[in-house]
Amino acid sequence: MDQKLLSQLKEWRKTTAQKEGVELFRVFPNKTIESIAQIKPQNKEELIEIKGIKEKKFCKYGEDILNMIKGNEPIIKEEEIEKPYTVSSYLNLLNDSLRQIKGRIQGEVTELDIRSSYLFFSLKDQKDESILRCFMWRKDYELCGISLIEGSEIITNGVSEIYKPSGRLSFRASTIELVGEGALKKAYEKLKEKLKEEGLFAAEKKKVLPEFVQRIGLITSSNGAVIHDFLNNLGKYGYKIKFQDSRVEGQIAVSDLTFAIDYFANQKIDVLIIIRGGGSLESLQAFNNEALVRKIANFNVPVICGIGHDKDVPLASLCSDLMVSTPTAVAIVLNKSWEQAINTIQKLERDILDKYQNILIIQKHRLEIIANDLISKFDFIFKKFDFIKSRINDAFISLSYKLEQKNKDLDQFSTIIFKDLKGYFEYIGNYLNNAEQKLRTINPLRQLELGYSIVSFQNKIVKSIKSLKKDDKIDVRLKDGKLNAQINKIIK
Amino acid sequence: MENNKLKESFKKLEAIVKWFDEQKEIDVEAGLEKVKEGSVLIKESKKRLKALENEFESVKKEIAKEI
Repeated sequence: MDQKLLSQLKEWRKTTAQKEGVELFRVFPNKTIESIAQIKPQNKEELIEIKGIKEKKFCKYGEDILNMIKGNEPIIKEEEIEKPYTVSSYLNLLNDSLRQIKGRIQGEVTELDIRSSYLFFSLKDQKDESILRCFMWRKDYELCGISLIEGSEIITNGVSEIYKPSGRLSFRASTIELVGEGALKKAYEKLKEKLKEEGLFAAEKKKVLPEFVQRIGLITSSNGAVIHDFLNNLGKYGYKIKFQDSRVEGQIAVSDLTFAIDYFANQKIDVLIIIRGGGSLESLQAFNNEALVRKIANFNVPVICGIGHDKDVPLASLCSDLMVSTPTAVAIVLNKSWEQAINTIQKLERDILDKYQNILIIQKHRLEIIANDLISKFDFIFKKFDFIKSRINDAFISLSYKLEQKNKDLDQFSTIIFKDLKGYFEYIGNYLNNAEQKLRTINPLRQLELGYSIVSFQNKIVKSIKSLKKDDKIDVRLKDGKLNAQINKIIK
Repeated sequence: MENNKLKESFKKLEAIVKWFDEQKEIDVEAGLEKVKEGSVLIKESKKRLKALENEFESVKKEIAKEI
């Protein structure tokens, strides 16, 4: 971007606006001015391509702009030189210039008039009693957290302007603060007592910090070493930091701090951190501002204040959920739970691994015991079986021995028997031979062959004549057959 | 074999050992059946224990890598 052209365009816009008695943006908004300085259009077509410039604007200002781009001064028409300012446009011109002159003014408060939405007071120079009339919005006054009374020595920040309806110059105060350690200390002690009575510092009111903070809302100044001290000491634990740049010095910081706290009220954060380096009561007075302190006390997530201080602890710190005295200490607090967690995890890991390893060893051992037990049980079965087998074997041996014995007995017995039997048979044979001989001798049939006969009557052998009588029919057996005969006569 | 199966296996194995202890007169055939059942359970349990041990070692290595 052509910076020289940009400032030239801005200057031109200012003059033009003043002449026309309009606001700057009515001529051209900043963006359009910047686009012109960036693109540097060379003709009408290129110029009206830029957002915010149409035919009407081109007719009005196009020529001036193209001239400036080409390095020429804008053409100032003669009638315009002679044209007088209107009262209003002149006052606008003055006010624009006055706005550039920011003032930090010390004086004594007089003519105090507090209305519902604004207040007037005058500041009197203690030396020559010069007077500066001041105007302040009530909300800005309340934000400052002090009570003005006539005669107070104060310092105010702001700019002057001429109030167009009255034409009077008035100083628009944006902040006011009490002057001197004594006054500040008094106000500090008074507010401290009041807040303490309300219980804003009570331990039971403190919110507990989340154990593992991740989302951090950070309020501090982007300038200076504090933010670097904080960030350098913050461990690498995946923190997500949202940052709001804020002035932290003096009363003027209140509005920045308030804005930043309000911003974080709608953000998803685990903790709000407010840090700044050490300073005097005067430089820390924003942190003793009642409205700000109340915002901190009522904030929806825990607030940690790391505000350096001398003797008097800032009320913001007292109201916060945790206060430490340096930004580095805040970082250490945040890191602590993570560091502990890592240590705990490492310990737990060791414990779990050891315990599980033990379980595995125990189970393996148990299995071995069971297996050995089962093997011994099975061995026992076989041993028992072997025992039974050996007993059976013994029984067989004994049986076979007995059988052998019996065999032997039997053999012996048969020898005896056969030996005896032979004699017996011989004896029988002889006996039978004798008997046969005898039988043969006594066989009646042999007698028949010798001529004898056998008489039988009624199947009985007749041995005597007495057993017969006359006419009995008798059977007579001869050698070669039988004959029947009848008794004729019995001869005695 | 699932983890709880290992527990079940141990229960069964202990029941088998108890069975042996309780027998006054061991039925050899029934005993052999029990031993056969026990040996299958032991084999499976050993396999499962080994698998668990391996898995455990790899988890241990993974943890060591991460930290």
